[in-house]
Amino acid sequence: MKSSLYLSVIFILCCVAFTLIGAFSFMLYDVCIHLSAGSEVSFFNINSFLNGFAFSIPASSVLACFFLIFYAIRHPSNPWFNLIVYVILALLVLCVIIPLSYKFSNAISSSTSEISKESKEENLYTAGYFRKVSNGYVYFTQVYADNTADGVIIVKGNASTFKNIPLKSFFDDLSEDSLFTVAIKPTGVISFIISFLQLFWEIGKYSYMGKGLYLLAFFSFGLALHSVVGLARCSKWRLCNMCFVFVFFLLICYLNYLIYDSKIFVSIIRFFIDKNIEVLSDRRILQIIINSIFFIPLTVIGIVNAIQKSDANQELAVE
Amino acid sequence: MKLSKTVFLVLLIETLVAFCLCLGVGFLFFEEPDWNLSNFTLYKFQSGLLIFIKLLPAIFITGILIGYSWGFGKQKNNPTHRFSDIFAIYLKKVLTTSLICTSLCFIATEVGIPLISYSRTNMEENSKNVEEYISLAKKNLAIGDYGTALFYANYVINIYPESQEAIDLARFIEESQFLQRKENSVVEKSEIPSIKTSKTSEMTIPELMTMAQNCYSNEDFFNAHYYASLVLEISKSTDGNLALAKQLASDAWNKLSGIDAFENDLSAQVFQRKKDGYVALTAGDYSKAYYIFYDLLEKYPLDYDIKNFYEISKELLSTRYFFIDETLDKQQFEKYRNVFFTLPRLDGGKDIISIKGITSINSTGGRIQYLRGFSIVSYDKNDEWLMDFFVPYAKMCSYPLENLSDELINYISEQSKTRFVPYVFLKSVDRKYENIFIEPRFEFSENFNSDISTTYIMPIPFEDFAMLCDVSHGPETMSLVSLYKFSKVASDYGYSSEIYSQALINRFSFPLILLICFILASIIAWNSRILIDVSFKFSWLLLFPIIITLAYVFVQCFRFLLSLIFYAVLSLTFINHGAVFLSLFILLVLLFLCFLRFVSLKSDSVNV
Repeated sequence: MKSSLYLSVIFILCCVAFTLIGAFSFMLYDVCIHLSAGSEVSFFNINSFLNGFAFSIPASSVLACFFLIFYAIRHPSNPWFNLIVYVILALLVLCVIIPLSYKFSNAISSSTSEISKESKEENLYTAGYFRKVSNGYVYFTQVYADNTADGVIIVKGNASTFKNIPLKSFFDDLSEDSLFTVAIKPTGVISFIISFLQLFWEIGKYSYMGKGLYLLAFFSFGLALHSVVGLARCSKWRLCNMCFVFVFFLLICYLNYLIYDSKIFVSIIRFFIDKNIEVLSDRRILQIIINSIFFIPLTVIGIVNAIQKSDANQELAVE
Repeated sequence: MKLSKTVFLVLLIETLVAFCLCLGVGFLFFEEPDWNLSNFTLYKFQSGLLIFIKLLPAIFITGILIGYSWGFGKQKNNPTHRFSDIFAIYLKKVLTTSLICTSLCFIATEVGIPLISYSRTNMEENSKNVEEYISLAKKNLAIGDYGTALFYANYVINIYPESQEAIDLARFIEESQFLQRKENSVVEKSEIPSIKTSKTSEMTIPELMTMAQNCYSNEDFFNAHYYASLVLEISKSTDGNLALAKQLASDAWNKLSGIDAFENDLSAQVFQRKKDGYVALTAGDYSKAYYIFYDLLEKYPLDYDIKNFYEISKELLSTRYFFIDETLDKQQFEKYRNVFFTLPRLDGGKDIISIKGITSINSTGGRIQYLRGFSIVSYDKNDEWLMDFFVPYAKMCSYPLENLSDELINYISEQSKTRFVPYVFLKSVDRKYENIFIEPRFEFSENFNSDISTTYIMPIPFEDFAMLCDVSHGPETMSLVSLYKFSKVASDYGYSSEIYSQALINRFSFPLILLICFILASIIAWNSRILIDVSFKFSWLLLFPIIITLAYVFVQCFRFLLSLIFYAVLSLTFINHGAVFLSLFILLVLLFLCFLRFVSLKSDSVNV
């Protein structure tokens, strides 16, 4: 009982730690991406930090719940008490913490919108550096106040000069120095994680605003994610259980991401529209169905395992 | 089985299987690129190898995690209190394994990746350049620069001997009369002629005088005049030999002029040609002298005078120009591609330099390098354009500082103790035909008056040139030594110091990051160890690919987060160059916390 209640303390600690790490990373990323070559910059920006704080809360609270599963695998105690605490915390995340974080975010964005608008209009390109452009490299000898520049462009190793050419003809966004964008902007798996977090932050925001089917679909995603706890007692080896939980957590995230951002689901929806099956032609209903496919079996497996394998993950006495 | 043996066995088998799978992926899933590759099998092999090296940290993390998880489970000592002695022993074992894995990952990343990238870039560039060079050959032919056109055509033939288009082009230029019509477009600034060679420069004035006198007495008047002229060139006005050398040179020349008894007309013609060549040599027209003696040597290879003055004129020619055929096979051995940087001009302006490719001659210790596609754009101190030029190939040598102007010597001495600077020859000539040469094409601003030169001196220490070349590999693959030096001066050469300093920290910290990951993996391994009564199941092998994927994601995220922190550390300007050490200190603290966590582990069960 004591150990189960200890889970809530772990949850709070994790939630705070993950949110602070998230906010700090968000702030660093935001400042780094707006660095200008040769200019000095202060890395602590309270607006970025607060925006990052609000942005991190939903993901951090879900991750804190997820971490509890690992904690419970490592420190097994009464499975039923653990489950009750876990369910309460999961509902707390979905019904209280995430909606509150969106309200917090709205309050911050209204107070910082002017500042972010100003920074978006600022030109960060400076003279004296080689920068990569689509067909080679460019070097500005002078950058003028009207956002035009003189310099040299090197294409396939051939250098040629130019004068008074608008910076926009080289770079789309003047509020980010391409030197740092190329060096900092994440690629591969990190870029995928960031776009996933951005997408679901937006979806979550609209879901809580839209209520009804929107909210139900988002809730189904949350419940499916939390139901991976059911896999924590599948194997005799703790590492195996941890991997099961991790893989299903990522799988559910990925499938939900695909529903909103893939051609496969567009063609599936089009197929149902063609067949006049209106119920299944809505993205949110498909999301609810897919998440239910995970939620129901995982919950059943969890309950069955809790009954049958009450001493799972326990360290036995060594003879 | 002992703990370490178990872990090493797991690591070895896992790494070998992963290596084979990565190579398999490279061979099966890499499609042939658009451009023609000379060795596609090697390209695929390298692709697989690159995947393996990138996954290597994740592979080792998985091996350590599963190996120790299994190994710890089989141990009978399971302490139930924190900071037990047994964990100090375990820590030693874990640390040894981690250090070995870290070293392997570090070597693979720092040595393997640059080598593979270098080889792949070479393959890609060689294939891509063929089309570009054919079009350049046609373009130069159209504008009447036949020497350059022939150079590009021959270059393609050298890379792809079966290229019919290049063969036709080269034949067309060679067989036509175009080459005869070309005239020097670049009027070079006059230089004081010198007839010193590497051989004669080692001789003292008395030795040269003796040689001159001996040659005179043997009626070898060409050499008598040559050695006497050398004495005149190198001796000071107060030297006692000066008057005698003048007399000897004058006598030898009079003798040469007075020779009129020849066996036949041919002998007279040969003598006259020799004399023309010799006159051109002493007047500083090395190019003319070289082609005269080259021509004579072809016809009379046994003539000692011709052979001797051919060698002298060839050596003297190489102090101004280089031969086109020296560059023909260089591109496939290029060490650096797309090198560009800025250099300060002594008048306060700057030169923007771009080089398409650089081949270093290893036998000279990199003292001689061939620069392909060498171009310079110059600006004055008000950033106004002054001039630019381009040459398809240039040759660079190290040049002693003492032969330069005082202004340049002072400028270089302020930066470094080096005694050499990079000296670039811009004009190349054909070994056989006088009318085939490649020279730079200049464009000048109306307000800029300057002597045209076929040489260029870079106002930097010679060692810094090697560092600037290395920059072309990018901050992630350039050598750590160059990166360390360059991070401090990057902004002087047109690069961002912040990015190179961050890359330096990233690379220096990589072993520490790996060590932290390995210790964390062994902590998880203890917490999730296979219990003593459970036997290993075959289906558990599926965990390997899953954990490798998860570990890869974890390492990527961890490194990304740390790279952002390193930027923040760099922004603390008050610590200046201490950013590297501060960042390493942060990681060492993290590592210490990992050690602390490891030795504080304990078992929940009690030994009965």
